[in-house]
Amino acid sequence: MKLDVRVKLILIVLSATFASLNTDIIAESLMMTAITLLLSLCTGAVRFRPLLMYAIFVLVQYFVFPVSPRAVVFMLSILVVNVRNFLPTALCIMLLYETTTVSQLMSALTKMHMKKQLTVTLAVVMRYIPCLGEELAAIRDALAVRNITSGMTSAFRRAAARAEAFCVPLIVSSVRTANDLSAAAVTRGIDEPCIPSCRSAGKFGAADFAVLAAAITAVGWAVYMEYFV
Amino acid sequence: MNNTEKMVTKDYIQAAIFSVLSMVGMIVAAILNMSGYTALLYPAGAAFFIGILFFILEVKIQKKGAIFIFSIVPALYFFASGLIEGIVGAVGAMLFSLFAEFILSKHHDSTKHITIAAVVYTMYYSTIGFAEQFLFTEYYCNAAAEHGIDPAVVDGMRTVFGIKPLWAAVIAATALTTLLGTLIGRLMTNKHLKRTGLVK
Amino acid sequence: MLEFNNVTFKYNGTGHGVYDIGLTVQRGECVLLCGASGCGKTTLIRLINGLAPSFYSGSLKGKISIGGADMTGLQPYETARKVSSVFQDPKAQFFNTDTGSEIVFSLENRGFPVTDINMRLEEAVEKFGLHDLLERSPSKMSGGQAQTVAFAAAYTADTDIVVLDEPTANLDENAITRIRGIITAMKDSGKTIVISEHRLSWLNGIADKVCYMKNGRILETYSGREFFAMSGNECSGLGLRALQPVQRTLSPNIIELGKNNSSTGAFAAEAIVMRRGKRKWDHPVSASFESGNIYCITGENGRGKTTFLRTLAGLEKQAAGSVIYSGKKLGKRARQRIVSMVFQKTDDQLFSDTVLGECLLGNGSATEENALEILGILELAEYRDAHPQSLSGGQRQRLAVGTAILSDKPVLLLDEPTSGLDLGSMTLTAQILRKAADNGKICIVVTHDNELINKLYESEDNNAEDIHR
Repeated sequence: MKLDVRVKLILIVLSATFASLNTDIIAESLMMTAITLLLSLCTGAVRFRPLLMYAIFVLVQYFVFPVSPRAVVFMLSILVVNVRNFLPTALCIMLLYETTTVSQLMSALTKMHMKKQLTVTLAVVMRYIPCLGEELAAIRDALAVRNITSGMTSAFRRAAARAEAFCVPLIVSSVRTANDLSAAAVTRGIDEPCIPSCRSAGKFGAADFAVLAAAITAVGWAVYMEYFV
Repeated sequence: MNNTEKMVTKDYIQAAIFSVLSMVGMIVAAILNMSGYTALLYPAGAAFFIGILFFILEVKIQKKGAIFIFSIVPALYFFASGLIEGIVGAVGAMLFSLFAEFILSKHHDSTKHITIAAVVYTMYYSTIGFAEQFLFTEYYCNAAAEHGIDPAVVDGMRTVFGIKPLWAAVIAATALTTLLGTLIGRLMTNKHLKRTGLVK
Repeated sequence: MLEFNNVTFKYNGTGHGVYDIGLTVQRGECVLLCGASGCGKTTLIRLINGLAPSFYSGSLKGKISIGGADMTGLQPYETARKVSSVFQDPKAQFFNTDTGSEIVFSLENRGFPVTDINMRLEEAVEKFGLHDLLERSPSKMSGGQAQTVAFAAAYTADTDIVVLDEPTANLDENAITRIRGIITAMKDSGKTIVISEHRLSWLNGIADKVCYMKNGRILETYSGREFFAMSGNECSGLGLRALQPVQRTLSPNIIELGKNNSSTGAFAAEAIVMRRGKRKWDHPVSASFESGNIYCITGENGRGKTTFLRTLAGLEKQAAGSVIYSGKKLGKRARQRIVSMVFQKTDDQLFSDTVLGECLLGNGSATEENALEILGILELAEYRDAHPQSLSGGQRQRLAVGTAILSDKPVLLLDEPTSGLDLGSMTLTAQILRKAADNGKICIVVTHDNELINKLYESEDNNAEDIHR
C-alpha cells in the first residue's frame, strides 16, 4: 500500500491532536492498533513490536502500578504515561521515515509551495539520520578497541576524555558530511533557480482518502468527547 | 569579520545537520524527564548540549538564518507533539531563534553576542516550555490526571508548579547550563575545529 | 571541448593550489590525471566541475572554457549543465535515499518534464543493469553497486563532460572491470572524460592522454600508449602505482576465507559462523595466526572479510565457533583488550588534538621517543603538533596505522589500510607493518591491493621489475 507523503504528514499532526484531546484508553488502543496495521500494510511486513511495546506500557500503567510501592509509581508515572501517550504519534513519524524517500519528501514539499531552501533542509534531515546512526556506531567501535582513558586516575577526567572522544569525531564528521552532501548536490544542479520536477506527489488515491477520512473521524470523535460530553 | 553574504546550500545543509544533532542532545537530556523528581531539570540538560552546538554552528557559518534553520528539527518535533501545545511549541521555538538571530545580526563573529544569543535561544525551553505548567497549573494538572498520571504525582505537580519562584530557578539554571555549553563549544572550537581548518 | 589557458588557482587559507595549467581536451577524449597525493589532481577536477572557486574558495587566474565558452564567473549549477561528477566515496555522494531518484536528480533539478525523466530513467536502468537496485537505499549496497549508480546518474545528466575523482578507490577487481566497461561505453557515446586516479592499470586502453602532475603543475603529458608502455622502474620513479595488473605473490600467509584453514595458532578463529545484524553466513570459517607474521585476507567484496575482522576484534558476536588466544577462548570484551584495529574510515578513529598526542593516547607504555620514531618512518614527524584532522586523507590513514602499532596489544587488525593511497604512502605502510611484525605483533590485513601484498612479502632478492610483471 502506498500513501502520499502529504497524507503521512497530515497523519502525524492528526494523531498528535488525537493524543492531546483523547483520554479514553480504549480509543487510544484502537488508534494504536490501526496505525500498526497501516504501518504493516505500507512496509509490506507484519510489524507487531510497536504494538507490543504499547501493550506493555498500558499493562504497567493499569495493572502493575496499582500494586507497586508508592515510591516506584511516583518515580515512573510521568515516564510511562507520556511515552504511552506519544507512541501512536511516534509510529506515524516512523511510518513517514520508513516509507518515504528523500525525493518523495522534496516533491511533496515543493507541491506545498515550500521554498527550495526549506525543502533541501528537510531533505537533508531525512538523509542524515541513517548517517548519524552509522557515525555513532563507528565511533563506538573505534573507542571499544582503544583504551583512551588508560593512565587517567580521576573519574572526572576519564568521563571528560570519553565525552571529548565522542563529540570531536562526531562534529568533525558532521562538517565533512555536510561538505560531501553539498558538493554532490551542487554538482547536480540543486541551486538551479527553476522549480524542480516532481515525479511523485500526484493526486491522492483511494487509500489516501480512506486514511484521511478515518483519521479526521477519530479526531472529530475526540473533539466531541472532550468538549461536548 | 562579519559575513553579510546570504546562506548558500552548504550552509543550509550544515545547519540542518546540526539541527539533527541538537535533537540528539535533547533526547539524551530527556532521560531527566523519566522521573517526576528530575523533570524540572530537563530544560537545563537540553540547553547544555544545544549551547555547544549553537556556538560551533554560529562560528562556522556566521550568516543570518543559520540559527533559524538550527531550530527547525526541534520545532517540527514540538509541532508533532500535540494540538495547541504543538503549534505554540513550534512557533515559540522558531520565534526564540529569531530573537537570537536579531542579537547576532552584525555581530556573527563576537563570542559575547553568540553566548547571549544562545542563552536567549534556550530560554524557550525554560519559559514557553514550562509556561503551561506554571501559568495554567490547574488546567495542566487536570489534563495530566485525565491522561492517566497517578493522582499522587499530579498532587505533587500541583504543589511544585504552585511555587512560582521555582520557575525563575529553572530559567536561571537553563541560562547557566547554556553558558557552560557555549564555553565547551568555544573550547572545542579553539582546541580542535579551528586547527582542522574546518572552521575559520 | 575543454581548455585550460594558463590557469593558476590558490585555495584561501592554505595557499596550495595549481599553477600555470595549460591543457586542451578534445571532444570524446579520455584524459587521466596522475601523480602523488597532493599534486593537484583533485583541484583540477574541482576547477572543471565548478566546485572551485565557488565551493572551495580561492583566487583564480587564467581562463577555463568548455565548448568554447568561458566558464569564469559561472554559478556551479550552470557548470553542472555541462559537467557531471563522480566522486571517490560512492555512498557519501548520494543525495537521495533511493537509486531511481539519484539517477535522475540532475534532471529533476533542471525542471525537465516528468515523462522525459521517466524515459531516461528506464534507459539508464536498462543500460547499467540496475533493475534490482531501483528501490534500494545506498546504505544497503556494496561500494561497487553504489558507484555504478553514481555513473548512471552522471550518464543520465546528459552533460558533455564527465569528471571522475578517484572513482575506484574503495572497489574490488570485479567492480573495477564493470566500471571500465561503463567508461568505455561513455566514451563511445561521445562524452569527454577526465579522471584523476592512483590505481592506473585498469585505464590502459581507455586513457587517450595522461597528464603527470607534481606540486600543482602538469610536468609531463603523454599519449595513452606512451604512458602505459613505461617500465615498472620508470613509473615507480615517478611515484606512481603499477601500470599493468599486478599478479599477487604466493604466500602461505595469504588467506581466503572459507578455504580450509587450520585453527591451531597462538591467535585463532575456530569454526566461526559469522553474523552481522540480520545477516548470518552459512559456512564456518577457521584461520590461524602466529606472532611475528603478517597475514592478508583477500577475496571479493561481500564475502565477509570485514565482518571476520570485526569478529576477531570483538565488535561482532559470532553465531557459532570461538576466537582463541594463548589457548583460551575469548569473549567480545577480552578480544577488544588484545586487539587494536585500523578501520577503513579514519575520521572516526582520531581523537586527539595533536598528531603526537594521538600516538600516545591510550598507548600507556609508548614513550614520546617511540612515537617520534614511528612518525619518522611514516614521514609524519614534521606534523607532530598539527591536528590529526588537518592532515590529508593519506596522512590520516598512515597516522591511524602508526597509532595502532604503538599500542602494546599483541594483535593488529587493518581493514583496507591502503585504499586510495599513492605508491609512496602504500610503501610506508608496508614498511611499518613489517616493523610491527618484526617486533612480534600478529598483523592481519584485509586488502585487495596486490601491490601492498607483494610489498609485504617481497624478500630482499626480488627487485621492483619482478613485482610489476
